[in-house]
Order: sequence, then structure tokens, then C-alpha cells
Amino acid sequence: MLLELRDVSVYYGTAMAVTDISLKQEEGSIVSVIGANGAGKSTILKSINGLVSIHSGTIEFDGKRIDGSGTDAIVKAGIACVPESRKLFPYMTVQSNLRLGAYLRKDKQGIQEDLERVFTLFPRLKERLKQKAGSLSGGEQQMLAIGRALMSKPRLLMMDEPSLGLAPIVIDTLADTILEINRGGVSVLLVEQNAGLVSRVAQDCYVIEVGRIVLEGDIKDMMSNDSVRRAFLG
Amino acid sequence: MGDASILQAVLNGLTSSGQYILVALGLTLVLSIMNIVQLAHGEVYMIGSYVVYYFSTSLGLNFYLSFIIAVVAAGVLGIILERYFLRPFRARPDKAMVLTAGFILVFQNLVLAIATGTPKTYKTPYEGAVLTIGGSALSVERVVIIIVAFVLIAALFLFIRFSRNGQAMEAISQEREGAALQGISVDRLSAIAMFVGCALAGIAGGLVGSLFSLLPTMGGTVLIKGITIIILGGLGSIPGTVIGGLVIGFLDGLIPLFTTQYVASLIGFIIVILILLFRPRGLMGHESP
Ligand SMILES: Nc1ncnc2c1ncn2[C@@H]1O[C@H](COP(=O)(O)OP(=O)(O)OP(=O)(O)O)[C@@H](O)[C@H]1O
Ligand SMILES: [Mg+2]
Repeated sequence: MLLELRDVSVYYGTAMAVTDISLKQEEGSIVSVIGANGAGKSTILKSINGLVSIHSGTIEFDGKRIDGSGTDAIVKAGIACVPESRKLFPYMTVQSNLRLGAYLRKDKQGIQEDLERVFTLFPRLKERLKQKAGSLSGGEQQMLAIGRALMSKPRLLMMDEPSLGLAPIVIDTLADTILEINRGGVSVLLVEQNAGLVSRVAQDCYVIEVGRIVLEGDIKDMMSNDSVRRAFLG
Repeated sequence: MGDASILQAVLNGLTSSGQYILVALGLTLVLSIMNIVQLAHGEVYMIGSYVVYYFSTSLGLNFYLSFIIAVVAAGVLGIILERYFLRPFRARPDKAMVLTAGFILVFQNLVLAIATGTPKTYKTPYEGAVLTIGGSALSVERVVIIIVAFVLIAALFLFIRFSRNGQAMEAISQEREGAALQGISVDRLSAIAMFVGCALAGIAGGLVGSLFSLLPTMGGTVLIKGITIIILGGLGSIPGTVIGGLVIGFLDGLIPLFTTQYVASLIGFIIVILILLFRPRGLMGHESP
């Protein structure tokens, strides 16, 4: 297993945000977590990132415990994230944002190669290299957030509602991008609210409601089961 | 007013600016990385002066060596403050800030207990030396302060702009969580910010201390000036801090030529308030992204 969460619970103060979350992801796969507003999707990603500490349970990456480690160690281990609302450095150029994605890396040669790879994936970013991140369009900002995450050369790329605020046609391109990244050998953990994007890219899917996993399985089976689809997938 | 007195006023303006900017840059660094105004920053400046005094006058050590000891001591004090007192309150910057207010009293009373409240003075090896330019005599002590200050300001600029840690600091100041997600350690860069910021305050204190008598309360004025400068410059902006420092320093140096010292400091603050009325985010503050 590349990633394995066992019975993870997270509290904010005294309020329980997620309870007994168990989730597995194999290397090379695209796994998805679906849930409504406030279900706890971002909390799960933040617990993997080390941005929130877990109350109980364990998180293993590549067979090693990572819960309790600092976010820097977790990034170094090979987990990158495209966070909710992107969290770019708005007053820095596209170039500086990308360079900071490779903050922990020392291999100049490899960084340059990955930069070229990002430009192949998003030629638009190459045109906008000297522009401030905050001045990009929503779609371009999403490209930059993905590009920045790829610059750390991750084994696992986590994405928190990447389709949010994007036009339907841009979401189509996003699906292709995710598949392309995955073909390059990067596992993807995709968090989404609507099943549309998920059903185009993911296989295994976990449905989460008010902090608990209520359903797991193949997204295509779920989508073809009418009652399931109406109950959980909107 | 003759050319000589204008040159003198400019020199005074630059001296004040240099000193204030060195202090205010530390406030800016710490504010942008740790989200607090480090209220005991004036005391670090004060301690810088006292350490030079102690080693050069009480122990009779070489001035330059004493100065280096003071700068290192101030920087290490910054690291200790960050590691053991501010870091535990990382999630609660408001509490950390109250703690720094407490350290004002701790440091002032510590120095009072060790050095007593009697004003202290020390001399630089170049005390009284003058440089004659265009018929006016310029104090070498002031020229040294100006040169050291502006060289350090330039160095800090280059550090932030081009070094890996400098860019990481910039990243944290713009987007904390985004920075953490790139593997940037906020703890490590907070320690660096406190080291650099406090060392700069120590340098300012060590350089300026020879111009007047030292008192344990001397940090108060520079803190007020420093806070005024960072508000004027636009909170968290390094170029803004430099420009704000030049404005405040020159108001300090020039207005007394036309009026009394008391009216001068009043006019200074009125001008600052006027600027902020028109640019509420300060001179170089970012508009919302
Ligand atoms: N910092 C916080 N402090 C307190 N409660 C929080 C905090 N962050 C999230 N919560 C709460 O925890 C629960 C889960 O939030 P989370 O952000 O993980 O949901 P989500 O599924 O990502 O929602 P969305 O689709 O809106 O992004 C919600 O009830 C939310 O109100
Ligand atoms: Mg969320």
C-alpha cells in the first residue's frame, strides 16, 4: 500500500471533524473521496499533510508511520498537495511559485526537467512566467497550483476540490490533466463534491458524510446503482 | 540657512533613518513570519548597547570585538526567545505578543539590576574624528552608522530576493499554509527571522550607543519609531520599511531646524497620520490580491 489510514479521528477543539476514517490507496492508482460541504474532506487531507494532528488512529505512507511528522518531512517523503482555494503566493511570479514547489529539492538537473514537464502539461504557464500569480485567471491559477505541487516530484498528489469555481469546459481539461499526471506514475488522491469529475478519472471511491465513511467501492458501480447515486452522489 | 547646515541636517536625517530602519526591519521580518509585533524589540536594541558598554568599558576589551559579541548576543537572544517562549504559542500569536510585552519589563529590570540606572557611556576608537566635505565637518561616527546601516539594508534585500531561505520567508508572509505545503518549515524560518531581526537591532544599539548615554529604558523610543515606520511603510513590506524609515528619519533630522524638538516630534506624527489617511495600507502595502 502506498497510503493507508486506519481509524483516523480528528477534533477541532472539542468538536469531532472526522471519525474512524480508514482508507487505502495502492501505488499508481487514482482514489477519490466524495462528500458534501463540511463532510470532512479537507480535514482528511490536512491530517495526511500533518497540518492538523490526529486524535487517534494511524497514517502510513509507503509502510512508514507519518502521523505526528512535520509537514516538511511529509512533503519530503513524497506527498504533495493542491489545496482548497489553491493557496498560491499571490505577489510572486509564476516562476517563483514553481521554484518554491521544489523548495526541498537539491537536484538542479531534475528540477529543470520537471519544470519542462510542467510546461508541456501547461504551456500557458510558460507564457505567464513573469506574471504575478494573483493576476492569473482561475483556470491558470489551478494550473499553477498543480504545477507547483508537481515540482516537488511527488509519489502521491492530493487534490482538494480542484474543479471548484472552474467552467465545465475547463473541468473537462482538468480530467485529462489528472489522467496524464497519473500516467506519468504519480498516484492521485482526489477530493471532490460532485461525482462528475471523479467518475471520469477515479476507480476506488470513498463517500463521506458528517465525518464518517458511509460507502466505498468502484465509482462506476455506484453511479450505475440509482438509489446509491441519488442518496450519496447528488 | 546655509549649505553646511543643510548637509548637516541630511547627515542627521540619514543617521536617524539608518538606525530606525535597522530596528524596524527586525519588526517587519518577525511580523511577516510570526504574525506578531515583537514588543521587546527595543530592549534587544538596548541590550546591544549595554553589551558593547560592558565588554569595551567595564572589561576594557577592543571596541570592534565588543561590538561583534553584542551582535551575536542579540541574535542568540532572539533564537532563545523564539524557541522557548514564542514557539509554544505558534497557534496563538495574540498570546505570544502579550508575552513579548512582558519581556520589556524582564529585560529592563534585568539590566537595571546588573548595570544600575546610572547613565553609561562608551567611546568608539574613532570618536571625535571628522571628515571634511565641501567645507563642512561630518562626524565619522555618524558616517559609519549610515554606511553600515545602508550596506546591511542592501544585504537584507538581496537575501530576501535571491536566497532560498529569503524566498521561503517571502512565501510564508504571503501564504502561510501554502508555504508549509511546499515543505517550508515555519519553525525554522521563525528562528532565522528572530536571529536576523534581533542581530540587526543589536547592531543598531551597538553603533548608536556611543552617541549618547545608555539607560535601561532607552528601547522605548526606538520601538515607537519602529512601529510607526512599519505602519507607515505598509505592514510586512521590506521596501516599505526602508521608505518609511527614511521619511521618519528625515522628519526627525529636518523639522528641528525650523522649530523646537517638541513641536518637531508632534509634526512628525501629524505628517504620518496624514499619509495614512490617503494610503491606509501604508506607502508600500499590498492592495488585496
Ligand atoms: N479550523 C477549524 N476549526 C474548527 N472547525 C473546523 C475547522 N476546519 C473545519 N472545521 C469543521 O470540521 C468539519 C469538516 O470540515 P472540512 O473543511 O474538512 O470539510 P470539507 O468536507 O472539506 O468541506 P468543504 O466542501 O466545504 O470544503 C466542518 O464541520 C467544519 O465546520
Ligand atoms: Mg474542504
